[in-house]
Amino acid sequence: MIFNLDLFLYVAFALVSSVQAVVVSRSPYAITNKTLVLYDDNLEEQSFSSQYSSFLKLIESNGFEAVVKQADSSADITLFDRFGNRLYDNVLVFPAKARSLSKSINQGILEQFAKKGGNFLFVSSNKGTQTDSSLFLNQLGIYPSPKKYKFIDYHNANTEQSLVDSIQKPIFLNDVIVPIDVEVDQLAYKDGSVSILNNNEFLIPLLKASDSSVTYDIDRGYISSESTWHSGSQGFLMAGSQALNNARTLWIGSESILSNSDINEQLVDSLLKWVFQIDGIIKAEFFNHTKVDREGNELNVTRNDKSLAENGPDYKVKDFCKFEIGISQWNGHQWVPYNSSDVQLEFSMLDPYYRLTLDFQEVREAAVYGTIFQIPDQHGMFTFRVDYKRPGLSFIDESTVVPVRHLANDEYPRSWEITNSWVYVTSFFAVVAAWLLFVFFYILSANKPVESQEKKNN
Amino acid sequence: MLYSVDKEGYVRVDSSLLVAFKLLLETAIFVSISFAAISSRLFSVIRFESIIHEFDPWFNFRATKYLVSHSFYQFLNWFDDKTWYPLGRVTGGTLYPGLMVTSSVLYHFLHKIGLPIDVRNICVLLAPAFSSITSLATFLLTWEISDTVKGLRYRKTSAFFAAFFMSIVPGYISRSVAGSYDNEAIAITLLMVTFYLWIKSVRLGSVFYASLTAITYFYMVSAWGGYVFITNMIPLHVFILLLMGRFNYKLYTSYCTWYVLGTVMSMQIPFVGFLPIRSNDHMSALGVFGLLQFVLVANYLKRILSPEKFHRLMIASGSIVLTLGIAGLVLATKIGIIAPWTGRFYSLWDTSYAKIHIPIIASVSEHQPTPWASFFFDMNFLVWLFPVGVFICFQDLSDEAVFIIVYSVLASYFSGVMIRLILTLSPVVCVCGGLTVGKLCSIYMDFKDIFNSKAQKVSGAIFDTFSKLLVTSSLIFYLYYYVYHCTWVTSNAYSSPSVVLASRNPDGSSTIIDDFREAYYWLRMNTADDSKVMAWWDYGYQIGGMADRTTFVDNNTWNNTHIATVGKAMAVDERQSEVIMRRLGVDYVLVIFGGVLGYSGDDINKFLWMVRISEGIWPDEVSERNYFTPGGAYRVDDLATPAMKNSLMYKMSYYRFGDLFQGRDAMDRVRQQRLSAQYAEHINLDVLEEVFTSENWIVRIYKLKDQDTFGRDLIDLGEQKRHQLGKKALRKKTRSKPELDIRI
Repeated sequence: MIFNLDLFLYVAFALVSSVQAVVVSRSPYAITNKTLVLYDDNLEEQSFSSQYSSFLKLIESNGFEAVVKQADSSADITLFDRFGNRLYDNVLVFPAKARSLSKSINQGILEQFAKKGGNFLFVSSNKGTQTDSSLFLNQLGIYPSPKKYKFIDYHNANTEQSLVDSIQKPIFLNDVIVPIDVEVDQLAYKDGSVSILNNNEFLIPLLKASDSSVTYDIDRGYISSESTWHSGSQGFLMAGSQALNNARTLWIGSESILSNSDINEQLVDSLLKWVFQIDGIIKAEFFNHTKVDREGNELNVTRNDKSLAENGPDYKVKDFCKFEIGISQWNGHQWVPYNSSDVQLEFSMLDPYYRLTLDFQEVREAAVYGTIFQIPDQHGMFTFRVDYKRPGLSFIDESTVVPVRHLANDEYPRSWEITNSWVYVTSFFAVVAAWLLFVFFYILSANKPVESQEKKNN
Repeated sequence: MLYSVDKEGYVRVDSSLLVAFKLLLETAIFVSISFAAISSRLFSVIRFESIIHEFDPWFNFRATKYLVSHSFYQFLNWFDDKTWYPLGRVTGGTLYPGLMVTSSVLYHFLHKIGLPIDVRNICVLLAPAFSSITSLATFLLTWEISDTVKGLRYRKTSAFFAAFFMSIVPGYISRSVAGSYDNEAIAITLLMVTFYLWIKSVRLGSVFYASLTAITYFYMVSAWGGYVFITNMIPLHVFILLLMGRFNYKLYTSYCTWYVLGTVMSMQIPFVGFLPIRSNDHMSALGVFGLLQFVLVANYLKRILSPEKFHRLMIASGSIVLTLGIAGLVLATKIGIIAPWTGRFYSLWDTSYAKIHIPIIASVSEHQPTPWASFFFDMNFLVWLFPVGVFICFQDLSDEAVFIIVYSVLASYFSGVMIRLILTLSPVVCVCGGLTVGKLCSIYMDFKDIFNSKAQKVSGAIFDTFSKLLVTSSLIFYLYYYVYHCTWVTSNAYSSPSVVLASRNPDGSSTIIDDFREAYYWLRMNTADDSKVMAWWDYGYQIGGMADRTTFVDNNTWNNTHIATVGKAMAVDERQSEVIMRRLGVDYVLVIFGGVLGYSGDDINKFLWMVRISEGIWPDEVSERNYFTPGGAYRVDDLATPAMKNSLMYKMSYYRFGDLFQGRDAMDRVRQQRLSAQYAEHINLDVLEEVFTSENWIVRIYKLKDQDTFGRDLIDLGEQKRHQLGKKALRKKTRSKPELDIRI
């Protein structure tokens, strides 16, 4: 049966991969299938749609309709309808000088959009820094360098003033966002800005600035600790962030990466796929635990079938438990089993009593990871928890609380089953027998009144 | 013929009629006493409603409901996953099931005979019902005692008076009003019945009565932890009788029967388990059991040996047994076979012990030493009848009188140490009071001489009659006053459910303050079924009983560390507290705040106990001193210490308190301290959000906020919100290099 399922999935997988070229990939969580692209005309040399046509095509090829609008403080662009529902799945913001992106968009609205599951791609450059975008990025822990700060590398850049305009052989730090097979020899990085990051644990650094680079405020004219934004490896050129609700934000330091002239379609496609929640999407299909015997066979005997349905199995201390979680992954078209070797289960009460790495079991509707373990000799409210958070992948944090009760009065071994007790049991019966004998003989032998004996003694 | 008129003109009544009449009269008296006992306990139901009172009764009520809807074995093996989260409580094995079993048996019985009475009403009315049985038991006990008191002509009068005193003595009513569904409600009844049967068995030397004593003792063990009082009272009685040279086979029979049966039976209660042979509290019973055997053998030897030989043998064996016994006891305690004395035991001898070593015991108000006034308050004129009664017992020192003396001495001492032990003193006070009044009656209420024309006129007969009248009338006055006092105390002091508060409006009309139930009902209706509510342990049972939500700590204070953890979460600042609360899995936090209404039993007043208890576990992180100003004052206003101001408890209590006063200074009516308006409005909370505050602000409920979606620190976020910058400043902020913990 298992073999058949595997086979079936293999066939299905093969079929899907053969038609992949034709079918547009899409995100499983897309609601509106629309992507808003905001740009500022003042910063663009040519018309936006011609300069970024291949980029826009990439958006379409990922299943989203690109709605291109110009950011302007007076523009009438909204992210939500009047019921507070998102109008777009993703928002891409290009560098802008405008005081705000639109009449109704400010930092708070951006936060709200992300809280409702919307994704962002922010592109900044040293030509214009939009305040609201920067503030939002700051909240995530990304601090892009503002205008005036120039990104230079005296050792490696061969341009006038040593301004960096490209990165040779970039090394991407996360292979979920940029898979290993994406090959980039040279990455255009004109008018780039550089970010420093804080230690927010949801941040995913993607590309580092070179060790010999520095950003500094050209107005000051000299390089000192006050005038530099970053120096050396503090700087980042690309960084992502995934919120608890799996809403994704990607920040890119230069728009030239996306422009027609320098675009590396393979790279940009993988970046967009991550931002649009097409790549790196996993989910827990099911989360089961059952009571089993020592060999792992399921036990059907429970004290009360009704309570089983309501409260799950009735665990007691030192029971054996079989735990399973099914994880599947989105491949752009459908959910397929997710392959991993580092899924862990925590079984905890205040502190983890167990932290077990789950083994791959089989493929059912998802890849099943599971284990069988013995519940510790401690009663209490225990939590099964799988907290699977890997940078780039969507988060899985599943937990359930079960009571583990103590032994009931009739679940202890009987006294005669304990060999140690035999000596006590024997002595008990010996005393009883002796007493009965004593009474028996006492009654039989007491033919003379006791008083007479006393009188003799006296 | 039931009656006839004889030749001399006297009416001769048939004796059976007299007996019937006497029986009728006695029954009428009993009915009246029961009526008095029950009706005076119904104040709380009439004033408020049929509701379970206070704290512990809520747990008993919840347990009873569980027992009624489950089987007895399920109850016995009950693992309660709604308390002490996440530890859980082995409830079936850590409670005295007697009370719940009693009410559930009653419940099922009443349903069987077609009286479908609600469980709640059975629980509410159980204590008054049992109080009338207590009066009956007191009657029997006094009857038994009075038999041996010399010069007591009206034995029944004494016994009736004792029963009457018992029925309305406030010291007992305080624990047995309707709704006070606590272990003591039935335990005092069982205490009296056990003592009665014990006296009976000592008098008769009857195995039957001794077995009955053991059975009621078992019932008592199943009902209340105070059974240890009996476990020590009876051996002490026997021991003193032995010292007095009163050894006899009656004593031997009744003690051995009681001890063996009682101990084996008491071990069947899971909560007691092996305590009777392992705990020091029970060792005296075992010791006296051994001693009795020893005395028995000695008695036998005395008869068969010559006096000198016996004397030598006694000294030798006595010293051997004594040294071996003491050495064995010390050794067994050291090794751990016998549990060492518990803290609660020490606190019985040294009243300041608990305060220093176990704050959790000292923090309970009913464990405080008794003020003198409360003796009068709880017993009225019995306070001075009591010593007289003890004196009467001393006059002839029968075996039974010795029991009363021992009981009086022990109970007097313990009631002085702990206020709640007045409860155990009350019965013996009533018995002694009954004896005294009986004695007074037999001397001064005898007016037969006046009507007896044959009696010789003695000079001073007038004065004699006059003094009799004087004593009688003052006695009647005191009796009247006693009833008056008891009724007043019951109605004013002991009939408040404390779940519902009564208060008076300025115009004198009374109003009901129902904040607790309002809040608990809110919890029940508006939160998820499995949400966990953190509150100080006092409210654990009420939350479980009324709101049906999971609690972390409750009045069953079995895990000091867990309580200290909750105390610490309340005592430290928000940042540390958030870590503790997330680890525990808190959803809601509930505080009691009386500052608006002047309700003095609130959490800020209990706060120091939280600090002390958590300091006991984490002396480095929490220090009581930091919550007092340098001048040693406990302040909650602008001059409060930083530790106080930052503590979660303080913030939860005073959050938005200033809003009530519309710009004027906020006044805390409990502490009588004034929070300035601008200070009060700066009290903020970042990790919690207020979700409910009751009508009079007594109960405030907060929800622990979810973690920030973007992983930001909630306190930083709140700080940002409070210092909201203008547009320009914000723009400037994005353009200047931030101070960061930079990632490299």
